[in-house]
Amino acid sequence: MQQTKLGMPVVSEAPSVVRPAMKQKSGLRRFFIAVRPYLMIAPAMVVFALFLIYPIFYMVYLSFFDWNMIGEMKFIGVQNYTNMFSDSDFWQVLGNSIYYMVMVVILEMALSLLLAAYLNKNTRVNQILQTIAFTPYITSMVSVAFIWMWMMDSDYGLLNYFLSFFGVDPIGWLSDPKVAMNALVLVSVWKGLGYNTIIIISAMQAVPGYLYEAAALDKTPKWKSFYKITLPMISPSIFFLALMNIISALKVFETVNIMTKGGPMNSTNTLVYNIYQYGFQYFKIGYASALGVALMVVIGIFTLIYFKVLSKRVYYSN
Amino acid sequence: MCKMEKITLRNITKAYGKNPPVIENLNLGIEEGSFTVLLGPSGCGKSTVLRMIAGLEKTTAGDVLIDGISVRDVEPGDRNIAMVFQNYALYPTMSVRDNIEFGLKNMKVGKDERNARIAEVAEMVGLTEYLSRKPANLSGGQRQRVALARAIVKKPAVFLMDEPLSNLDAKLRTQIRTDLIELHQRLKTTFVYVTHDQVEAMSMGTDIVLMDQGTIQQHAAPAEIYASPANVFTARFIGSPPMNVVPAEAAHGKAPEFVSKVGFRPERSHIVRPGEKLSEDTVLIDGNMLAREMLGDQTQYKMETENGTVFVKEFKDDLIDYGQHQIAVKLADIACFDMQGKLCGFGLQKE
Repeated sequence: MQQTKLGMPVVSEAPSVVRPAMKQKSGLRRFFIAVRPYLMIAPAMVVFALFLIYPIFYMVYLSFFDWNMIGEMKFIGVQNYTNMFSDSDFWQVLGNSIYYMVMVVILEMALSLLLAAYLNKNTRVNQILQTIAFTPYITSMVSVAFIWMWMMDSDYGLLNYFLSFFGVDPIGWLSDPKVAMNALVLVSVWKGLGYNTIIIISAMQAVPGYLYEAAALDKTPKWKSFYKITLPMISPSIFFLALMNIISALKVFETVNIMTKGGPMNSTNTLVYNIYQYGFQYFKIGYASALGVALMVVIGIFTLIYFKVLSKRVYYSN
Repeated sequence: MCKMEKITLRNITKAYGKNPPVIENLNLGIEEGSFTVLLGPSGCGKSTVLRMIAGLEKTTAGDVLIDGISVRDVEPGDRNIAMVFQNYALYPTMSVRDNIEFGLKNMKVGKDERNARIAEVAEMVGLTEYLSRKPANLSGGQRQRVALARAIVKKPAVFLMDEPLSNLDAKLRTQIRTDLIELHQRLKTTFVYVTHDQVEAMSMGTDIVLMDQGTIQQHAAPAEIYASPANVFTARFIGSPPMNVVPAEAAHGKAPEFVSKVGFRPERSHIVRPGEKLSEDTVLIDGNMLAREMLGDQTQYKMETENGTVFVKEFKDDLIDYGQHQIAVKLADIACFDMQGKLCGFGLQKE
């Protein structure tokens, strides 16, 4: 204790040397120094502006025109919007999109939380299971959609075949207007489950173990330590995942396009598929752009509500 | 044993996986109402012992008894204990109040009782005005007090503390040290305290259990462990600076043959002043001063002798200059250790 090595540096007097006056920089050099940061971010900003900012404004601009992509552009003011709001199909599509989003987000979050809680323990079996759960996420949505379409076929599909063992009548997975949207929800939840689970597991494993020890000494039941410790601690991840799920669910396209084409009876038509129909099947670019603006606003509103309502309940460690 | 044992460890062995055990066949009795300090260098197994008492670690073999009853199948929450962790382990998402209240709620304590207890304990540790804050907005010392309050409020029969002061600065550490002694005096419950700092152990403990490499080196009251260290390890661990232990040759043949090492406390030696009259029963050692530390009431000298470096601690006003000196130690103050490093007594035979 208190052993000191020899040769301690002797504290010298504080340097009181006056620095030589700085060289006056030339005007050009000063200009370069001022501009340099902007030059550095310029490439990124150009790409950002070209592919993100410009298309958004161009879409808004197009929504005030009547245009078929080839002929002359005709300015029609807010006609596209008044048409849209008075069209019952639009409201159905909007309702479909919101229903789809709510279902996907709730199921996705609830199931991935349960799965994560189950797979959290880092055993070898769980690592294999995690990998299996993650596979759908890295598989192409198109292949996934085709395989599910085949499995959901009402006459030859695997699902109805299995259900027949239990005496269940064949279900029109993709042909019954009451069921079709839920079938798409199922596919989407199945595909995203692994990704959400992995993110939640990694958040759970970042919760310090001593908190659970303190909880054990506080006589905390298992479910309560999950609800009062785990959940608040992983809330930033859940908040982020749910927001990503909201946005991506509102933008669903591939499954609709491949599995149902918006049918039956428009029951699975969503905003993005509707945009695709108007833009690239009916060539009503102006109306499609108006729908695009509507989608943007809807996503904006949900994101805003989400932040307002939930962000206060998220715990961020500093 | 006249006093009742609150906690008994019976033939405890602890091994992690297939590695050799970190603790093997350990027996320890902790008296009811004592402030027992588990002391030792890092990695000696003291925290593991504490965690086994808490139930956070399972014993590989052997039994932990509380009030004479085995707690093998008793959950940590049902052992009537409270623990203060080194990093406090406060629930970061909860306010100070919720942190303190959490355990009480789980123990199904009624609301009025909870409020009364929280108010009392908050007053006791001086947290009343911080009850609504989150732990992140508290200083280290305040967090420490929340951790203490969380333990006290449960009114446990045993307090377990795992190096609770090591994350605090030196000044706060001495202050909370006194607070803990006060707390122990006030509550009269059993405290089991883990530390690697012998000053904490000496100042707070009523009993010290000194451990090294998973075995107990000495279990005694602080005064006894200081006055008669059981072995070289204990002698070299207790005291600041600890006892000087040198090979028996340093005694110039004055030590009996079975003695392999001799030692003396720095504060029981002094540097010979010019013209100083020395009594006959004094041993003189030549040494060259390497360093000098003036601490106000005391001065510490680090001296190089032909048998290694030793420390001399004096409570005198005059400073000795650097250079060659003689260190004087009374024969009666020289501890003798045998081949196994065990203490075999004080005092060397006179010439």
